[in-house]
Amino acid sequence: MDRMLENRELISDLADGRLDDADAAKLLAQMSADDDAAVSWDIYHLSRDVLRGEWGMAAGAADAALGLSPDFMVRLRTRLTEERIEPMEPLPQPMPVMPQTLQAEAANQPLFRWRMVAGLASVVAVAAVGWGVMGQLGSGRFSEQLAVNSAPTSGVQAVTVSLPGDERAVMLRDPRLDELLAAHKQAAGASALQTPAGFLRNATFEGASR
Amino acid sequence: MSFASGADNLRRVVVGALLPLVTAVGSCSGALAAQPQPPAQATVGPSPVVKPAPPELDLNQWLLRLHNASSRKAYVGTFVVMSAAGGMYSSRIWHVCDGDVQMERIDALTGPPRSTLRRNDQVITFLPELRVARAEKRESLGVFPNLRRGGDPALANLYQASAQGVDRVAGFDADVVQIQPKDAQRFGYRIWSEKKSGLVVKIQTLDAEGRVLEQAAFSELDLDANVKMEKLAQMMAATNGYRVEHPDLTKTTAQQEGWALKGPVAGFQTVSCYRRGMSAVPMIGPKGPPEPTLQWTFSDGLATVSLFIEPYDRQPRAADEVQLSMGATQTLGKRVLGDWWVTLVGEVPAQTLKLFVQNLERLK
Repeated sequence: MDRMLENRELISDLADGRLDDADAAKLLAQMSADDDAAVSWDIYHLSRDVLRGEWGMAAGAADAALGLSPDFMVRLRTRLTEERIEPMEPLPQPMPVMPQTLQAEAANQPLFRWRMVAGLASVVAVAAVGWGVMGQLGSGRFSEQLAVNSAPTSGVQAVTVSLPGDERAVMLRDPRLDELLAAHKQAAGASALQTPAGFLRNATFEGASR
Repeated sequence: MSFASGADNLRRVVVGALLPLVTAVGSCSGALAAQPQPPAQATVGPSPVVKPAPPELDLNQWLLRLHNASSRKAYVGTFVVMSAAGGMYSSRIWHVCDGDVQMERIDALTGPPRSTLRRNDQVITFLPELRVARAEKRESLGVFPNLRRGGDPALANLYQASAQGVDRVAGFDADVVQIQPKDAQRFGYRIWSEKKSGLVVKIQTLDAEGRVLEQAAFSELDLDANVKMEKLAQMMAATNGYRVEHPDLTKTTAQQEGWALKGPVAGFQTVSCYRRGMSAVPMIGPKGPPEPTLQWTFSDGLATVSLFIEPYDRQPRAADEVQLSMGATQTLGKRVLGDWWVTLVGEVPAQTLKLFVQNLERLK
């Protein structure tokens, strides 16, 4: 393995004319006996040609060496020239941001983090299918994706979604539902258990929806 | 050193959040019994102590004890709420009581910074990031006339209490009491009550199979803390630089709004009814300030259910019925009588929310 790598470096040097005659002769002899070395030689040239924009001139040899059908590289090249490389466009709307706590939880167990990510996925589904306030997420990439899920609206009579979960992911939820949840917590002082533990629970919990 | 033990604590908390999922009702006392007892001959370390058994109290006596605890003590602690699926929130609590006045400060340690201050039923929440302070009156906080008069007899038809042994929470010995519902229309609770003061130091909400849906506990508690009421009062009044928002609430009755229940639902009684202005703008329909939503709140003495009623066409709906479950809190949204959309929120099984919808009727 090491020897192969070493050979490839030597081959690269040879192609760049950086080997002296004795080393070059030795390497050429080796290459003629070594398939791997020959392939390296061809690949090296191919990549150099690509870098120089001269792709195509030496490629035939590489096709043959790699055992590719003669027109494979031609077709690939054609496809690649048709491919337009454009800079990534900014999203029309910011992607729903993962709560910062996700990154800040490094001290927690991996399992715990994984669960939170899983929770997020389920919330995305809820936002689209479950609570069913369509278009809530705007015209971003997300909503297009979600629209696929929520498309057959007329056919859907009842949807049950379990979101046992991760209320951290609340950001993707319907703000109106969050408001109702907060209103409920405000009213939920009517129970013997609500003081003090219930009030603490609600006050501790509430922030999740803000 | 301290870092290592801190990380260790955290891990224990996380494990604690996940473990109860497989804990069945009744296994609590088993787990307690299984705790290693200190050897009788031990000469080093803490001497063995025989913990007194929890008192034999009935449901109302237990609730009274829990309730009264908060009017006795000043304390400072860290309170953690965990949902079964791993959500975890914590806050720092300062509590003080002087005669009839209770004051509390609760600083969130999770999520956006916010500080809630309470003086009896007056609550103000400071949201420093938004420069907003939300002032509310929480009607029924701290006022349980039935409890004070020796208990609500109706409650004993719905729940029963049984002592489950003793445990330790946040360094304090606590009596464990299980409050078991007598039917399937409500959840159960397991409550850890600090032995001397009765303070609730831990509480679990349990479903019919005894699975823990949510639990909340002090992870750290100082029952002899020096909390100054004047200082909390000053903080509560320090709204300078904040826009103070009051909830847009108008008191009403369900009947006045044209709503009624065909019959009582599972022992729940009306607690309050408000027309509530919502800040989330309707997505379709006429622009301008949104029409108020009716909030009709019920309680069975322990659990609370809110019905929110609004016109169906205020928002585009993807389905005629949607159900959502988050820890102990269940929600159900449903189209009723064609023109209306009801959102129910409560710490009760989803089935109970459905009973409310089935019983809802329009008077006009």
